[in-house]
Amino acid sequence: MKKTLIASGLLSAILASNVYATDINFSGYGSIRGGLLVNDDITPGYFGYDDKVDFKNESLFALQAKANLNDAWNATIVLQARGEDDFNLEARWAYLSYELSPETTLSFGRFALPYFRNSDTQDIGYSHNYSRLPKSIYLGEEYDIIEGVRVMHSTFVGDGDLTLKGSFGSFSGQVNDVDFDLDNIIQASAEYTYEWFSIFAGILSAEASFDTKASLNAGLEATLPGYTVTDGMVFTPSALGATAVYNMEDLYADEDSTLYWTTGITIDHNNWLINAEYAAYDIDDSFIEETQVMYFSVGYRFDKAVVSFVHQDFDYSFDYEQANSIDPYVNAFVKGTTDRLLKDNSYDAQGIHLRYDADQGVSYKFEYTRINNDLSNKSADLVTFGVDFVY
Amino acid sequence: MNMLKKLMITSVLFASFSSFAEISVIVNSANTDQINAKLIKRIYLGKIKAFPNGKKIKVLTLKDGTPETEVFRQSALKKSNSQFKSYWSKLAFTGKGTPPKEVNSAADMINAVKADASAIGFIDSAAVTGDVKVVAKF
Repeated sequence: MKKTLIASGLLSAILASNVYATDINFSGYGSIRGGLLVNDDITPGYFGYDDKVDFKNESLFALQAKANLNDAWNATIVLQARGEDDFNLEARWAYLSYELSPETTLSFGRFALPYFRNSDTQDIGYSHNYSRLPKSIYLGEEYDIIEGVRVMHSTFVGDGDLTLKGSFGSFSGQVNDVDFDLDNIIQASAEYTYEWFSIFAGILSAEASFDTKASLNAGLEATLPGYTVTDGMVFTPSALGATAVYNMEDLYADEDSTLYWTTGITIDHNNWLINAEYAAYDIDDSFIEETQVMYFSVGYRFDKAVVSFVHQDFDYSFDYEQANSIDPYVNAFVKGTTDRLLKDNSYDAQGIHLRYDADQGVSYKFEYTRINNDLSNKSADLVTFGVDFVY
Repeated sequence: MNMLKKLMITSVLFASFSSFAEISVIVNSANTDQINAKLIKRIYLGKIKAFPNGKKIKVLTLKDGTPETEVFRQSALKKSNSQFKSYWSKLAFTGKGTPPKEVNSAADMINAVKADASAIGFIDSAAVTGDVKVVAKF
């Protein structure tokens, strides 16, 4: 509801501004992408494909309208239709920008949240040399956007330039059909670019809430017959004295603080391209363990083509801090739940990506990636191909 | 025969390419700012939005497909057309800037620069007239 209000408000602002504005700028981007698993011993989560070819999941079209209201203010909306949402139109970005100075811009509204270096541009296939950005970091989650405020400042340091970004806001939506809220999101990042080299670092903190209380309570009572959960406290069976042995708050993700930190480098020198990113994130006092993700890629640019080899890794560091009950059965349940929810997600993957610039603003993409599941030791082979464009 | 044809086409292309070998970057005659190659690169990559005198820059380009544009991007910005477009797609769709505005011809470029004290553009050096000021050549 909130996002619809912001979006329609901005849309009418942009259309109305037609009367005064010297120019409204229309542009856009899109992708048609297909893919399938050519070997599906496992079906890896987040990669979005199975053994049948699919052209819908990652295809998208976007149109941006930007109106300069005057020298300092402009209104921008990016309407995006994604295949995975049945091409329903969504206001992906909708914001008002105020240029405080040529170096500093404030934006208000709805925009991508820069968790990671390329989060802002992850939907724009044309902007990068991969068929899709490495999934280990770029999961493509619903909560990649927020409603709030963003400040951007750029300045020159020596011969290079420094860009600082900060955001404040919140997200409310669903992840895997479970209600998910992020409140008090505070994000800050810095990127320094010198000619062919750039380095990035970012941090984000928020309070995360997953609506999983009822299912965790039911899971405990079903697994440990006789144990009961009342107001978040776990009690032993009455035969054992019905004593309180565990606070489920240590397992729930309920307004628990979450922290992301990330860093990356890019080198583009003599047609050699190196790209690496690392990120770690966690939700304190919950079933989520610290997630550690990275990718590393080496590429070479030929005349119209770019070839890249990508290695990615997705892992957790299990400390089972939440298994702190005096009752070993409850601890076993807590550990088991953590393992069941997370352990199967760990993988590493190696792939080759091709970009071929066919025409002005049009590039063909191809990817072959092998994904190895850490737990089962089984693998899947993924092929994706498509066309990315900007206009 | 086929090979010969290819060779001929290549040499014709090469000839037309080399006849645009020199590009002049032009500004309004009233612009007294010191504008060097480094500043030009920063302007066209959206890293600087105002001239040293504080005026907001109106950045102009010829169309993507023209040899002038290709030569300018390659020699002044060290980017091919597709690298340039990829680079700008990251800025244009994330609120970091608006790409250079396209004009249709050298004559339109001269008129636009002549009419706007804060404009910058580029044309084939052979097309330069006394109406504008050349600040750099590539």
